Amino acid sequence: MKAGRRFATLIVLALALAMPWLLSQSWLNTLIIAVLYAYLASAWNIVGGFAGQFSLAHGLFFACGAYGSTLLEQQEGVNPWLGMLISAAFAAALGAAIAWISFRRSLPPLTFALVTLALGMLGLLGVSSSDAFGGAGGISLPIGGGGLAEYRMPSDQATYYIILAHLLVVLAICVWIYEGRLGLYFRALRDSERGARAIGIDVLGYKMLAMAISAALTAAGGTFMARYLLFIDPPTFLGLDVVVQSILFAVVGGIGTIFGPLLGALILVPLSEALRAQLGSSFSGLYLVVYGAVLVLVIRLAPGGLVGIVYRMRARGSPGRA
Amino acid sequence: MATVLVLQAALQGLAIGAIIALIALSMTLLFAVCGLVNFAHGDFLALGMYGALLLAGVGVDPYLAAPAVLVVFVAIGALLFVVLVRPVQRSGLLAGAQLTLGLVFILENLMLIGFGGTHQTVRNVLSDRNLSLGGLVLPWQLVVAGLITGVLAMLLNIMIAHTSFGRHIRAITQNPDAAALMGVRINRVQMTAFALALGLLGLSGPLIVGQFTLTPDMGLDYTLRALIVMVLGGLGNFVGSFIAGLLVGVGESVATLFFGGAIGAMVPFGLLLAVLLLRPTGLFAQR
Amino acid sequence: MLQICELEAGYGQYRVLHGISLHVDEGEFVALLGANGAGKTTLMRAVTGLIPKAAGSVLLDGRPLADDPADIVQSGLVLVPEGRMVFPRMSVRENLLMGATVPRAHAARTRQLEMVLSIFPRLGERYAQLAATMSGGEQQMLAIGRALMSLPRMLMLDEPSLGLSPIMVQETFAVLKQLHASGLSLLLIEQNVVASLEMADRAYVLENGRITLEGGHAELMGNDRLRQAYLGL
Repeated sequence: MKAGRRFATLIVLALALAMPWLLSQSWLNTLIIAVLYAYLASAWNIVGGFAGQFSLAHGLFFACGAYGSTLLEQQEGVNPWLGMLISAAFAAALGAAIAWISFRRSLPPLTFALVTLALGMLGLLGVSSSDAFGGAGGISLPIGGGGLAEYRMPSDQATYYIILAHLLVVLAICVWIYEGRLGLYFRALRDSERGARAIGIDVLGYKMLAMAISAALTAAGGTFMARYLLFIDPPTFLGLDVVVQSILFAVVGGIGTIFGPLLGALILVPLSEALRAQLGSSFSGLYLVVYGAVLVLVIRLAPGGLVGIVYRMRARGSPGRA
Repeated sequence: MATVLVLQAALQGLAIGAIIALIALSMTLLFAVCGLVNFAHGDFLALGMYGALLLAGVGVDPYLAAPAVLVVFVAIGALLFVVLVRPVQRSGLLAGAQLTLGLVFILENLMLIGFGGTHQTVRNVLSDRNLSLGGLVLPWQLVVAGLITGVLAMLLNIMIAHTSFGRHIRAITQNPDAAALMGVRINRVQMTAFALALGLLGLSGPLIVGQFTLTPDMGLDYTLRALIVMVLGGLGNFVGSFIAGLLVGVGESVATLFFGGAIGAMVPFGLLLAVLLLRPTGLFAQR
Repeated sequence: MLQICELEAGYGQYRVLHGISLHVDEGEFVALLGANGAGKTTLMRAVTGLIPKAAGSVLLDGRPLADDPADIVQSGLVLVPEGRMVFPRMSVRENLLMGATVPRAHAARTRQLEMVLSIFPRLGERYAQLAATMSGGEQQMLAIGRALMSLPRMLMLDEPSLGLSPIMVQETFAVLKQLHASGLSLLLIEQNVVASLEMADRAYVLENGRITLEGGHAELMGNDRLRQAYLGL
């Protein structure tokens, strides 16, 4: 990294670390959600953007992390951090299995999206009607009872730092993938599966890998969400809301880029909160109308994502470019 | 289980299936002709139903309201196409999906603001009347809704198969460049298809509104079912979607009878999964 | 009849055509030769309005050609595209009817259908058959027949011999000669140099988006560069 970029990165990092002291409590909570979605969107982007495989099954992985760590703690007394790792591993296996079933027959992208949609919805319906997972009512986590070592977050600041750490980890992984050979292979199979196969890339294997990585990271996010909300239920964790929002932020920010999902989440989540603060009292739901209108406007004016605008501005600014 | 009950469930499922089929056909018009995955499809249907609610408030029976809502929706469709859809088309499927997702937020919450979140029902001239055939009892309005949507779906298919406009539509779905080179005015055909698709939703809404309870977020279920049926039918296969719709309707209804609502709701998704993994092109390979 | 002046076109920032100028007079049979990637198909897409022109103009009978593909067909300029592009799940009959979409052609479709079937009797035999189930040669016949249904005053063909067996290539070219003899102006785009030069009145050579050679049969066959590049002589 060039010196200028390194400096800028340090500034951003310092700013990020200082946030708990700069923001009010409600804004800090908004930021926590924004960072969580930046994390989830970036995790999704690994399989959806880098590898170009549009998965709508990520609710399953998210729920894996949430239900897995919670049930392991409640029924087996497993430390939630360990539970997180175990659930993540399970989610990775699940993701790889889904990829394997889907792609050993070389399903086209739209069909894969629908298969994963069906799987996600089946998961939602299944868990809702099964008592083993707490049924439709969900599971509550008791408040208190331990500190960070038991993945209990004593304050909003601690919560923020934990999710920030998650985000930094996922961004580091994204950079490592993107700039490395793995990213090259992902892009190859995304842009031309036939071509990738022709030069000997194990398309099925890499798709499974992308899904596994994405699934594991998403599961960890699910564990965090469970520890944050102290409540898990099928609609919140298995419903389409989480995965659709993640995809939305990734697409609006710039799908397939490293920082696009981050940008998308950091802009849209606070925006939606700000709108709710302003308009929430007048007509309930008005802020969402405006939010939807913003989405429509963005896609109408910047179909390539917000990152595309940033690149275009940079290109225009530097001399000697076309 | 008594055969009468099974037959009854099957017939009800057939009626519901016809409704789903029409919705799926209209979604196919949007996907195959205009290249748009419409996540707001069910929400437009819901909007039509709320429109019937509105008109019922001033004493207009939903069956009479249907043509009026149809006209309004055709106009809305044409407008939406020109202002929002056409500019975004060239940016690909994903951009269109994002657009319709934004519309979901807008529509659902406009309905929430306008009509409130509580469950509402609309009565029509056939409410509470049942058709008795032998041991079978079926709500008249379901029968009527099923028949009308079924006939509309068949008419749509006939139009697509046997008129020159239908041929233009099929040409665009099979090879848009070739269609353009033959002199098909792609924009015009797409706009007409779009307006027609939305018009069908506007017509269906008031026709079926008596049978269901209205909530602002009811659209998603219809969107998902239509999507599933569209894919099962073969993504652009109009006849296939019709048949698939009937299958899904009957399947869900009968499964609910035997296994309960939770399992019944899973049937469309399970069916989709099974078909996609065994026959990725859908149940009906030919268009 | 057809005049292309300094035409430039491309895809996004990527410019493929760098100032193409060529003309086809009424009743002429002109060939445009070029290897893969020379820009032949891009030229066809730009002329028929499928992609926008970055610069330059196209005139038909001295008047600017329309931008909209449908208007272009209506004015009598018809393309048989590369790869034939028949509608796979339509029958021969429906494919041919698609050719008669524009109003001018639609009015004359019954008469034109008879004419096309007399030129291509095999299409009549397969009238109800789906285009996708036909062989490459038959699809080529169908594509040309379909183009004829549009009542062309000038026909452009993009690599009709591609993927065809030698016998089918001969048949196709025989039809082209027949059409030329009946007065139709033709612009043939081909990689098949020898056969094209034999049939055509004149030819151009397209290389990397530019016209590099122009002339009649004798001049081009006598050109060393051409012979080296295409004939390996």
